[in-house]
Amino acid sequence: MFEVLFEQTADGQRYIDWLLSGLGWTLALAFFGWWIAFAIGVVVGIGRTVQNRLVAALARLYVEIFRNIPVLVQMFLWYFVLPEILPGSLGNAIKQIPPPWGSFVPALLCLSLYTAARIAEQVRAGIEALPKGQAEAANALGLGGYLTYRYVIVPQALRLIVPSLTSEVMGIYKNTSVALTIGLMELTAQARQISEATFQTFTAFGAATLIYLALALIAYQSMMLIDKALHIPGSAPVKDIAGPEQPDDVQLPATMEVVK
Amino acid sequence: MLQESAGRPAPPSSIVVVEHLVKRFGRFAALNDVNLEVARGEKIVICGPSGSGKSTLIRCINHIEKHDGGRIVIDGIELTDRMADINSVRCEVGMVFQSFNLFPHLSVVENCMLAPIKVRGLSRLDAHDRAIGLLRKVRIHDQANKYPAQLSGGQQQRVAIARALCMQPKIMLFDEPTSALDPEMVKEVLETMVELAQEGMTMVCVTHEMGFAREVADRVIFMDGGSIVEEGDPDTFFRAPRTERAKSFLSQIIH
Ligand SMILES: Nc1ncnc2c1ncn2[C@@H]1O[C@H](COP(=O)(O)OP(=O)(O)O)[C@@H](O)[C@H]1O
Ligand SMILES: [Mg+2]
Repeated sequence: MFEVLFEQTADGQRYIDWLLSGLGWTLALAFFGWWIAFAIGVVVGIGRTVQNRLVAALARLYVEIFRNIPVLVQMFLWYFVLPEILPGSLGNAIKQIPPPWGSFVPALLCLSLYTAARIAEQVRAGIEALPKGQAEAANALGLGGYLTYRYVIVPQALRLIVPSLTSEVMGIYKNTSVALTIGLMELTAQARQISEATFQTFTAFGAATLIYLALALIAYQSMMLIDKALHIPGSAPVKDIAGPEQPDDVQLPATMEVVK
Repeated sequence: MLQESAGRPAPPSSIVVVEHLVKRFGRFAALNDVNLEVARGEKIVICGPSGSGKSTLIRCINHIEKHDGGRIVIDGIELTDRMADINSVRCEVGMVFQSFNLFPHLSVVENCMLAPIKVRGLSRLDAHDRAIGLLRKVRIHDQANKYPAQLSGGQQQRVAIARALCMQPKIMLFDEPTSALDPEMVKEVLETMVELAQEGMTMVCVTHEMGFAREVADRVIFMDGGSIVEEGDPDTFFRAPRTERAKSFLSQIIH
């Protein structure tokens, strides 16, 4: 049923090459987006828990803004609105960035900042779930604020939230498909293109679905391995403290005109 | 040389000076005008009913709780809001908690090495040697590579004592170190504390272990309602308390 994927396309490639190129962009977006999101998320999550009111308020503001605007809207804000509100020359320069970078960069920004806000909340939950005695014992040993976070609080909080970070990994990689709305030829966009070129809708999206499922499985298994590797000898297995909150799946309105 | 001796005053004879200490939680005064001096090498046992402010007092001494009034001077350094002072005081003050508070993600020996390396600037090798030496002293060096969750409560508390000692503190604070332990483990921890006392460590212990108090305490302090109500040498205090409140407290813990 997937034979059509190996047929020649008009540009001399095979349809499977389109799919693989789409997969490449999906993976690149998910991978780099994840690490940026993780770095920002940890910093902002810590910021949510510090004594300094200003820092805590700024971290809170970040989370509320980026978590509560739908991903699709954020995608459009970065892609369409940002160049308009920047000073003329800079805005024009951004519009001139050639594809695929012209859509990859805004998509990367959008997904990492959105996911970072979600990770920040998990990190905060993890930190707040630790007994107060941990920070007190560290302080009593003369470890200051930074050293206490670095060596006592954050390592424990991150271990605690590995299960909920697993959902965030899944979340960012599923959300990569939203990037097709700003013209990034990632996996879903390529599937769509194949479907339009061959009229084999079922095959095209069936193949994409299988790839997404396989990726999800790999991501899940890797997180399980990480969880195992980080397990503290003698301690009980960690529970999902932040609850099984899944990232909201982004749904495109049926009538949505997809930007190509 | 000359400058140094001129700039550094002789160490005060009292290592801890607490004057008119007040600590409030909201409008509730947990400590009300507490005065306490601890001489170098002195062993003090603090007892009193639950909620009388014992923990709050020793937590103020290393600034885990911030006091609202009065003065606390540790080894010549007054505790104010200056973080540098607070951290240097904390290096000289070891603390042992009722709930051990070991770092569960670090092995026993790493628990003991963390602060000496990061705060005192010891090399890993020196910190390791020191940690093993002190773990041996509390007779738990054969468990050095285990994790806290793999140890019994009594073992964990002895590790916590070793961890505090690795900073080579000038004074050790204990907040009910045996209250969370099963009865059969109380002894091993108390023995460790007695040895420490015999080596001349300055100690302030919140505990209701009267045997320990009689054996090592130079002074027993009885607190009630956020104040020091009575103090004296252990023999007199346990045999013939002067105040009614101490009498009724003692009758309760003796049964
Ligand atoms: N963090 C806190 N917030 C509010 N009240 C507290 C806090 N810590 C202690 N207290 C109150 O202060 C009083 C003294 O507490 P504590 O020093 O722990 O007593 P003790 O150790 O003698 O049992 C108690 O009434 C307690 O409820
Ligand atoms: Mg207490």
